[in-house]
Amino acid sequence: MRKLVFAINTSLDGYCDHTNFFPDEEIMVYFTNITRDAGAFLYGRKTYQLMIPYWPDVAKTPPGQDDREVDIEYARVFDAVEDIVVFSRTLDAPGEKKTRIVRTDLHDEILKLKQGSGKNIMVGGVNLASQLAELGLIDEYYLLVHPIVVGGGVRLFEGINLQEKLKLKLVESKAFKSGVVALRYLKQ
Amino acid sequence: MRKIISFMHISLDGFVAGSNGEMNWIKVDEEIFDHVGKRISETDTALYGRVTYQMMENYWPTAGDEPDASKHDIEHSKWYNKAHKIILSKTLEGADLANTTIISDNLADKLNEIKQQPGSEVLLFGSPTATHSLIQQNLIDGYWLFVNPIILGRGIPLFADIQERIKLKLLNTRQFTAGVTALDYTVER
Repeated sequence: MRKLVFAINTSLDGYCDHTNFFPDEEIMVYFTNITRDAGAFLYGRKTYQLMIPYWPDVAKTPPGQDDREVDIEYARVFDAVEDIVVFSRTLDAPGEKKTRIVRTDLHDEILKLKQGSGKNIMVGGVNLASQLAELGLIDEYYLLVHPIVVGGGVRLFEGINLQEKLKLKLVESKAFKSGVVALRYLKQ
Repeated sequence: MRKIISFMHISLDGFVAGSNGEMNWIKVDEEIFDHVGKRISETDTALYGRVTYQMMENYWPTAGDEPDASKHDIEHSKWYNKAHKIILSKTLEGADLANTTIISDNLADKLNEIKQQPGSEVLLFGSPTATHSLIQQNLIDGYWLFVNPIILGRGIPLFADIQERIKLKLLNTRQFTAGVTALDYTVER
């Protein structure tokens, strides 16, 4: 069964708006390494529109431009991921073959994906991930906790309706020069 | 200047207790007690909100005397009875309690006065309501957090009604066998 992985940057108080964070080179390398193990991305509409075409464009950056090497490397690894699955009732299919739009049941679609063969499935975006965490479908969590309390915005696991507390197993905690701590957990 | 450090066990989604104050999900074992005990033993002053204080006062004064007292019970009980305790409460009275000061008003002034005195750091144990108030008045100088490997979904948050961003500097992290990660931050000003 393929693993469903969720990786996100978060403030100490659990807010995930990407504009709060300025990942440094160490963090970009960390994300790139997680992404190397991905064979598919899963997005809701908002995160899909945030990531594409932004990262594919960075991947096409000719050498000598301003972008950091680590960003270009992340972009290349991102662009190499084979499938993009977007959950949206409103988006139209973009017409290029690696992306497909899904409008049907989340639970069923994820189970189907997991039963297929291939590398990890990476979910991006907080809303979708909350729903998947609630359904108990996320196998691995990477929370990159930044040394900042922001007070508001899109909250990690907001509105998650858990029948029981979700117990996890810590497999790694890694501190970076910038004060970010990467916490990696497996679902029990 | 003395610092006030917020000392909390939290869930991964940032709660310090369940919606009804449940704390049964908090993992503490000998490894964690030993680690925590070291820093506590260097502190001469504890700060509490009323609710947490009442829980502490109900247990710690005599915990070390019980026949089945653990090593941690004995140590922390001894420490608790010696430590100076500051309680933030508008309703509690106790001018005659040993080693105890109750602050019922002029919180910022009184705590700043204490910070100017010589002494160790002040550990604010739990006390989410008091912590929220102190954060809003910019009186918390550091956070010593024990992140538990659990998502609660709802509960009493560590951070609430934050009006201004708080920049932090990570001093230390430590991973425990129980799956808890200690995060030690100082507030950057």
